[in-house]
This record gives sequence, structure tokens and C-alpha cells, in this order.
Amino acid sequence: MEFIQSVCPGCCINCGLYIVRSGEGIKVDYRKRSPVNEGKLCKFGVDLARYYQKERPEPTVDGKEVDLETAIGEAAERLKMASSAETGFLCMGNSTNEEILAFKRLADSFGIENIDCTLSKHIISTPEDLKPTLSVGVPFKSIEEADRIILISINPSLQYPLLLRRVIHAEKKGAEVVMLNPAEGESLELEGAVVISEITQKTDPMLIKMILEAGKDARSICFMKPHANLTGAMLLGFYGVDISEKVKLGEIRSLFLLDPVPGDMDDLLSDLDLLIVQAGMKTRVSEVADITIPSPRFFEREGTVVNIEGRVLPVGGTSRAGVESLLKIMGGEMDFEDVRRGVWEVLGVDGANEDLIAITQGRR
Amino acid sequence: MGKCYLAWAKDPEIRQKGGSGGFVTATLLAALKEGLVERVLIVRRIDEFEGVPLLTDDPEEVKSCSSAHLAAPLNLSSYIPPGERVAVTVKPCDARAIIERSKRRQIDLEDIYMVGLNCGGTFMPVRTMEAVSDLFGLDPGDVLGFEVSKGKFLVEARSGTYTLPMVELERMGYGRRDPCRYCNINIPVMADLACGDAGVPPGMRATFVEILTDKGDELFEAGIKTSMIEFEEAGEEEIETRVRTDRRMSEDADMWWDELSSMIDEDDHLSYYINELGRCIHCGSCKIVCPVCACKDDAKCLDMGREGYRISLYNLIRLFHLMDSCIGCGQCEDVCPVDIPLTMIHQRFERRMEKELGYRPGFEMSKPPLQEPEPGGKV
Repeated sequence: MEFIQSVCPGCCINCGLYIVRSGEGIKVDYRKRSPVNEGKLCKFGVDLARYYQKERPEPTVDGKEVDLETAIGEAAERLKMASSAETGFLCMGNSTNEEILAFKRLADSFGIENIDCTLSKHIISTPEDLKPTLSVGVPFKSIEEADRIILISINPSLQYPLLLRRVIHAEKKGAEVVMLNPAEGESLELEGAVVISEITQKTDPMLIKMILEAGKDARSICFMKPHANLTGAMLLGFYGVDISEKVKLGEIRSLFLLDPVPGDMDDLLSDLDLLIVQAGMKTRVSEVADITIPSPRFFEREGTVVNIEGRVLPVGGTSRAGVESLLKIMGGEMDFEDVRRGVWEVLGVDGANEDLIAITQGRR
Repeated sequence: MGKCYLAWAKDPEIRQKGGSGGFVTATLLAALKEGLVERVLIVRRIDEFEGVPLLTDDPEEVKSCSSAHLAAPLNLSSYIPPGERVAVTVKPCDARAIIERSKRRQIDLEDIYMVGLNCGGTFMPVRTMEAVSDLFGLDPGDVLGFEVSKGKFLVEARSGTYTLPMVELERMGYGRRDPCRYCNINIPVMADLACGDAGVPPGMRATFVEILTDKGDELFEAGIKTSMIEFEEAGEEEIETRVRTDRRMSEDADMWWDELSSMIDEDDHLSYYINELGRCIHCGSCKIVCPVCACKDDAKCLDMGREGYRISLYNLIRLFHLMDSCIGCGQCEDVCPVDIPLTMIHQRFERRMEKELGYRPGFEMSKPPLQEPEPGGKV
């Protein structure tokens, strides 16, 4: 039995857990020492072993299996030939900070400005001083200590049960908890409240604007996010254009996807001139890619994520393969340690520490 | 009562490093050396607030795990590999779980040597870190160790030793897990050996050992044969001290039970169950960690976790399954993502059944009464 301390990739909370490797395969066990969730998991976390059992992709070029170095070399060649103005890099927020920063550096090296973590359209339309509010949320302790909690267009019992727990604690201490849905005409009076909502690719930008405007008098605002490290991706500056929209308009002809999940532009991907996918598991998207570069499963990766509270958490693995593939496409001048130092520098931290709320809205 | 001894590790290093004179470590090493068992199942310390199960036949690994870990609230019964002879260090709830799992044919009791550890309760790691930080102003990373001794919570840190009466600590909402507070079984009398501090004269680095079964005799003999342990017979005064300590702890537990139970309105306990169980999100964790649940993925309750009921059939079926079998280990409550006091709820049913039918789960191998209804009987 090998107990690997890891975090759940299911959402932005990043619950702590153990991946237990034994002769019987992989299991998930409850890590009560995690300050994020104290060992408690939602259904996704409980079933995580099944998620990790999904097949990993093989390295491929034009549908044919090749060795990894060939796939990496071919990716570099084809990116060189592609028009940078018509090329996009899309990270879905399911990668480590180190992979995301390496991906960003790779985009920079090819002069590609079309980068996106699926939330660019929301970020670029938000005034600069409010951008930090979109990325990192609030410490869960402060939710538990709130007098008034307003949940806007979010149902934590369905989407974020480990957030629900904190809301219940607050309610038991006497907090008023209100659920609002502005789409149904309910007005937003947020003064003094801890406001919790959700930001996804499909969120109406008007809703975010309304919350940010009405929330100026709120005690704090927390936008939950559906993927593991969208917070980290935003803090690392992985945004710029709405790539999904550009693909739909035909303005992006070449696309590099990092750890994709099925989405609403999947049907358009096969029409692209070039589709490169780097992923830890086989999906419909990796199947139609021109070039597929496998990466380790999430828990096997060395690196970090930033959870919604602002904790920089180690993912728990030891494999640097995902970062190294990206660096090789770039030409191999940087190594993993360079990227790691870069992450610390951008995040303004000294390293991972699960017990520390390292990044707050105020600090950024 | 079985034969009682004061015993310790012969190796001075193990005696010094191990909890209570290193008897347990020495006995596990002896069991491996004598071939009584293939491996031992113990808790590996990651730090003061985290420990994980370790299944090993490596004597050095056994030596490295030679002290109690209060902030690793595990139930080791779930980690026993079927079909292998193992020695396991067990708290009373681990031992009871092993017996219940054996009844349900998950493991074979004959293969298992239970080295029982007296237990006054375990702590949730994060809450304990908060306690040392909030009450003593300590960085949890600077804590070298903590223990409960003579009713006091003692923290040893780089900057010194800090102490607070347990009563005060627990009145402030810190301290042991709730199920441990009201657990009134401190000595694992259902194990093969029961080992602990109570009854050991002050200043003596030794363990008070009670031999409870033939396998307990084998373990003790292995220690003697391999020259791993030294011992002397426990005197009447020492035995009496242990009995008194046990009685006091049980009374303390019963007081907690009465106090925590009193928060439930006896005239309207159904509302309590509806309110608490109504929060269930049907993640299934309580069933996964329940050491006495043997249904696994084919469980009937799993088909019943649907929306639309204020208490789902999932919870009702589990209530029924556990009302004569819950051993009060608290694992379900530990992992519940919406903090339903599941152990308290199951124990409220189980304790009533216990009183009515005179059956205590996890003490011996007889079948739970609800599985053996007597014609014309009470059930």
C-alpha cells in the first residue's frame, strides 16, 4: 500500500485525499489532515479512482501511433509553419501551475497571443481593479464566520458540496443564508455579505458585471470555478481572447489544447487545419487530434494548483513529463526548475504550503 | 480478567523510544521473527497530525512506528489483507470492527493477532492543529508531540511544553472526536492482548499488559522466546489502579453521551433525524468507510439514494443494517461532507438494541440478533 497525498481535480476546491496504490490497483482514501476538506469528499472525489482508470492516450501523429519524441518534434514543426495570428492555445484549467506557465511560455515563444483558459471573455471585460476578485476566492473560515451569505445562481449542494459544508456551519452559527437568481428578476443587495457565485465559460457576462457592481459593498465575493486549476490559470495570466468564439468564427485555424474536457466547440475541432492535444486521458477530442501528446494522470504530476481559497497545493506526484514535453516543443532551453521558479515568482510565494492562505484578493 | 503483567522491550533503544516502554513494538517484532505472522499492520507517522496505515514485514519500519498516534483516526480493520496472517495494533473500535468483519466473512479472525491498545480517544487532525494554534499561539509545524495524560492535554513544542485540562479543552469545542468522547470502552477486552499505561507505577517505562486469549499467550511467549521483552507480574495495587482508571473514563464517556444526547429533543426526535439526514448528498462515503458494512457495491441501500425523500431509503436501510451492529468507531461521521452526526444517530439505535437484547457488537463471534430472529422472540 502506497499512500500518495494528492488533491481532487474535480473543481476549484481541490479537496485533499490519498491515492492508494497497491497490487489491486488504485483506490481513493480520505485524508483527514487536509485543511481544505478535513477528509470529506463529494461523490466525484469518492469515485475518483474510476476517473483515473480511464485510458491514457498514445502519442500520435495524423492518427498513427508514434514515439513521444516524434510527436513532440512534429508539434514543434507544425506550430512553426502555422500563422501565429490564426493559432490559439487553450488551457482548460485541468493542469498544474507549472504546466500552464510552460504552456504560456511556449505560446510566447511562437509569438502567439491567442491564449485562453475558457474564461477570457469574462476577464477582459472586467475592470483591472476587479480582476483579482474573479480569480482567487475567500478562505472557507471566513465563510463560516460570515453573518450573511448570498448565493447567486449557484447551488452548492449539487455543484460544490464541500462549500455547502462551510455554509451550513455559518448557518448553524446564526448566519442568514439567501439564494438569489437575478435571471428571475431578483435584485442584488449585497452590502456586508459574503457573496458566492460561479464563473464558467457559459456564465452570462452581464451576471458577473452585475455582481461585481452590486458587490462593491459586499464583505467579499467568491466566484467558484468548475475546473481544478482555473484559479491558477487566471493568476498566471493565461487569458487574452475568447478562443471558443474565434474557432466558431473560423479565425483560429490551428489550436493547441492542454488537458481538454468535452465542450461545445468539439464538433468544430475536426475542421481545423491543425489540432494538437496534450492530455492525461483519452477523450473524444484527443481522438480527432492531428497530434496527441500524452501526459501523466493528474495525481502523478509534480507541480501545484491554487485552490479557490488561495492555498498553493502540491498535486502530489513525481512526474515532470507534461511540463517537459511542452518545454521540448519550445526548444529545450528551459527546464522544470526554471518553470517552477517562474510560478513562485508570478504567484508571489516561496513554495507550496497547504496550511497557508498564500494568495488573497487584497494581495493581488 | 486475564493474566496481567508489567512488560517492556528488552532493547534499551526500543524501550526508550517506544510508547510505554516499547512493549508493543517488541511484541510485533517478535511475532514477525517467530513466524506467527507474515506482516504487521500499524500506523506510519507522517507528522504529528498525520498517519497512514502501513503493512510491513520490515523490522526497521516497525521500529520507526513505535509510538501512539492520537491524530490519525483510522480504523485499521479495513486495511487487513484477506487470507494473510497479520498482527494488528488495535484500539477497541478496531478490534470490534475486526470481529464484525470476520462474522461477515470479510476476513478470518483466526489469521489475525490483535495487539490491543487502551484508548481514551482520538483527535481530528485539523481541529487539533487549530487548538494548538488558537489556544497556545503555536505554529502546528513546531509541535513535536502531544498526548493526553491524567486528564490533561499536553503539547510538546520547540518552544516548550503547554498544557490544558481536557475538560476545558473540550468545553471550548476542541479535543477528541465526538464518538470518542462518548465511547465507554477504553480497554480492548475483545483483542488478544490489551496494552496501556493505566496501572503502571509512576516513573516506570513499561506497559500494563493483559493477556486475553490463547493468541495473546502466543504473542507474549514469542516476546519471551526471542528475548525481545522483559516483564514482571502486575500486583494487586496496579491492577486496581487500572480498574479505577477504566471506570473513571467510562463514567466520563457516559456523561458525554448524556450531554450530547440531551441536545436532541426526545419528544420530537424524528424532526432531528429528518433535519440531519435530510442534508445527505448521497456520496456513499459513510458506507465505504463503515467497517461493519459487507455489502460492497451490491448494497441495497445504494439503489435508494434518490432525491425526493426527506430521509432517503439509503439512510433508512443503513439505519436498519447498523442498529444491532454499529460499533461507534466514528468513521462515517469523520468523512460525511455535510457533517451529519451519523455515529450519534446509529449509536442511539444500537444502544437501545443493546439494552433490549443484551447483545454488544464486536465483542464475540455470535451473530447480530436481527439476523437471527427467535420465533416468538422480541425481534
